[in-house]
Amino acid sequence: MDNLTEADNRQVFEPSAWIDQYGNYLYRYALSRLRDGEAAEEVVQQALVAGLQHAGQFTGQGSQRGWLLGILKRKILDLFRQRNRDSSFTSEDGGDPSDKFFDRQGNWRPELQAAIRLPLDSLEREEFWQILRGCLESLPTRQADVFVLREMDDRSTEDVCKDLEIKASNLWVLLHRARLRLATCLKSRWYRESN
Amino acid sequence: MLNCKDVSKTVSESLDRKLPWWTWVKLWMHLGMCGVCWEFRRALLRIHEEARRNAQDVEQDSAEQESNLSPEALERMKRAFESHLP
Repeated sequence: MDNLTEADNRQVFEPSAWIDQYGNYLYRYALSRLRDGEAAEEVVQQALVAGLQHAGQFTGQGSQRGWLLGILKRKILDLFRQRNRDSSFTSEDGGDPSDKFFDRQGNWRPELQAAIRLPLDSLEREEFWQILRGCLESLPTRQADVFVLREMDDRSTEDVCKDLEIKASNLWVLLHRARLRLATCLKSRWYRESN
Repeated sequence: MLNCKDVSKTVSESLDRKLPWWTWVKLWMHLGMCGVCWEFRRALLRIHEEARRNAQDVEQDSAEQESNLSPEALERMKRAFESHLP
């Protein structure tokens, strides 16, 4: 009996069915990390082809979906690393955004204070994420990438430094800029909506 | 004394590393007096929490919002993939 159940649960390794079975799942995952449909489609395609090429390494332990997701995660990391080296993305950072948010004495700019002071507690999870998502898309690419690795994927600062080949001090600067931009963007949008 | 700009940086760093104790004291002295920075810090914590939760939801396929491949993209992908099949 046990053998029968095991056989029933075992999935047939069938690459031709991958896109129908896992295409949307993998795409949604890639889109959530890369924020760009075209890049997400491309990286899923790469992951599927890599899966095909390394089909011999699939041990049958765990699901094909999980196995393909593992490959996809590595491809996404490769893309982050590549973008981080690319000068067109490094120059896009636009330097220190602090002047937009603080006056010369280092106080919050008066026009921002009411929005930042407004608590977010009554903002429901769904809507919170929807607004944050829009703000994340408006961030310079490298800042958004480090945010995704550190805050979404919950990778340690050491790992993110290794992933992107950057120093810890550089990572803290990028994370600070990303969080500062995200928080003020989120607060400003929520403030406008609640008034 | 830390100003609000310093505090925004220090609050962010506190999410990534253990702060030196004196920095920690200065941070909390400021937070105790400044309602704007207080709410800024709370916003960073909420962002931190929601980002993690959403990432997990997507991975476990339980996210509320679903943006799937368009039918055209699906076709495009299939055609490209088929050329690699044995």
